[in-house]
Amino acid sequence: MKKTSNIASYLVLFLMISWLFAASSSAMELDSSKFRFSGYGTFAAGKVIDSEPDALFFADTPSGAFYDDRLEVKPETMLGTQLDVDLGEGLRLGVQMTAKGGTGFDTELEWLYLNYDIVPALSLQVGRVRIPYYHFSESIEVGYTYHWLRPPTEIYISAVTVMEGGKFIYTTHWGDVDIQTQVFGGSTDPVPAVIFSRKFDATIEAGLHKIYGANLEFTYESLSFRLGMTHAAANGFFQDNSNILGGGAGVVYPVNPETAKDDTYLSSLFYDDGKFLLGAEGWVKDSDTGGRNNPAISWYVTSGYRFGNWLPSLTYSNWKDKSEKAIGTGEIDQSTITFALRWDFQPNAALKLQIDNISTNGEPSSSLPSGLAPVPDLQFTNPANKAGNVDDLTVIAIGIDFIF
Amino acid sequence: MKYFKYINTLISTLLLVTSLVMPIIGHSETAVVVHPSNDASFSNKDIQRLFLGKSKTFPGGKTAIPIDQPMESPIRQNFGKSVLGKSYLQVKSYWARAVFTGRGIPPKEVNGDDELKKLVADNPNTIGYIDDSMVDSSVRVVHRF
Repeated sequence: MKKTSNIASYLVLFLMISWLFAASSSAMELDSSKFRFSGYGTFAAGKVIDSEPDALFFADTPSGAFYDDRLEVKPETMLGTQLDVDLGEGLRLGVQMTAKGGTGFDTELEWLYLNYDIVPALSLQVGRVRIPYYHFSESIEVGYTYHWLRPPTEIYISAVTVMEGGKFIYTTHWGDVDIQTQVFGGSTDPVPAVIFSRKFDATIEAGLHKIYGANLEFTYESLSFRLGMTHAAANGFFQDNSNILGGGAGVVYPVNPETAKDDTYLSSLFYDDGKFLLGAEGWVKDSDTGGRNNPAISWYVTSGYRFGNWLPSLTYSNWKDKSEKAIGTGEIDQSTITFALRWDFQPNAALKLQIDNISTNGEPSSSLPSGLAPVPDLQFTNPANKAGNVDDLTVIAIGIDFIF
Repeated sequence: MKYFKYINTLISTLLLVTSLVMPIIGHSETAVVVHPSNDASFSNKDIQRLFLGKSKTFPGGKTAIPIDQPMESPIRQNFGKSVLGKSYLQVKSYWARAVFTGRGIPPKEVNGDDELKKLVADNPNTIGYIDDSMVDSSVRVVHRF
């Protein structure tokens, strides 16, 4: 994430582009109808209610913000604002700023993109845009758009969510089936991998030296089906603060983008007729970190039924891998059962209650000291004192998602 | 048995009359309207795609500007169910997802039938929907529901 110090330069760029297109397009008048201001946000509080003492639940992957046995408000509370400027001639500028509790409510530039309609059915977005990995990846922070307070963390695990790059979006139809295709590419600077750093007593930064991919989404009546693939080459470093790799405390291991690769294949299927909701999503990941193969599979199924403005739902999600990890061979097998209740008490706001029960059944990493052993849980449960494993945890959270 | 026959006839007649009258007194029809110069023909799906931002041109290829009624108005909610096939909350969620992923901006909203009809009558690129009783020669009806 770009911090406040970078915002000024983005705003200057934003204003320059606005001025450039305003000046070059005689047909355009920058009246108020050309500007659209909107926003979204979440106010939530949660805590771990059933686990070992000191257990944590990482509620926000990018920031590493977590719930523990005290009621916390910051991890998932956030506000986002968006300005869209119609520059005419098929050009639109979008800028989105966010302030998240997980990062101390620092203002961050989430997006800055220019959208150009090449032809009515084909548009190009360039700038700082969200990576369209999975079904909800691009709108994951807009909780109002889905039925959970938090989508299944086994699937929505990425610490890197925004790239500098672009994407083509092509919309067409075949009979009554609407089809949307995205082809995208870009890169990111390495960002701190907070959860892994905490877990392994290391300083880790991870980025995407190069990322590209495509997805196809078919919609027919209440049914939507999505297929996607993403290829990413990672960069960054791993600074081993407590010598868990045996090469010495403080040694820095760079991540080589030539060998650290990650291919993800995704599909999702959703049915929502306004009453009955049924959805499933899954991915298969073929990763390679410096010659170590790390295949993983993750999926969930979810179902709910609307009673007026109330939508209770149940979700089962799972992550499983058996891999040669950077710190020995281990296996992660994590499952979560989620009960979520959404109540649309206002047209622009929904109150949500979510209870997640997470359990793990894996094998600890073979090369770690037995007292450390942070695997087999994925990256969501971890004793603060790193003295043992948590294999079962329940977390409760209540919040309001809103748009304006 | 004879009385039963009379009662059956009476009930059938009442049901027939009720079924004919109820739509008239229940709610009036809504008309989807375009500029009189727009001679394109529209299917329900064409209209749905325009109002969900999935298509930006009329069936003939001209640029289309859909215009919506106020979000919480009965005519808008009826349009959502009958033409878009989505509930009020689904439409809200659909556009929130589109806006905050940069995929589109929802149609401009106006204050009601009068304003919408005037905009459509003045601009050949627009399309909207009004109460059928408001239709006059300044607009062309392409669909009723």
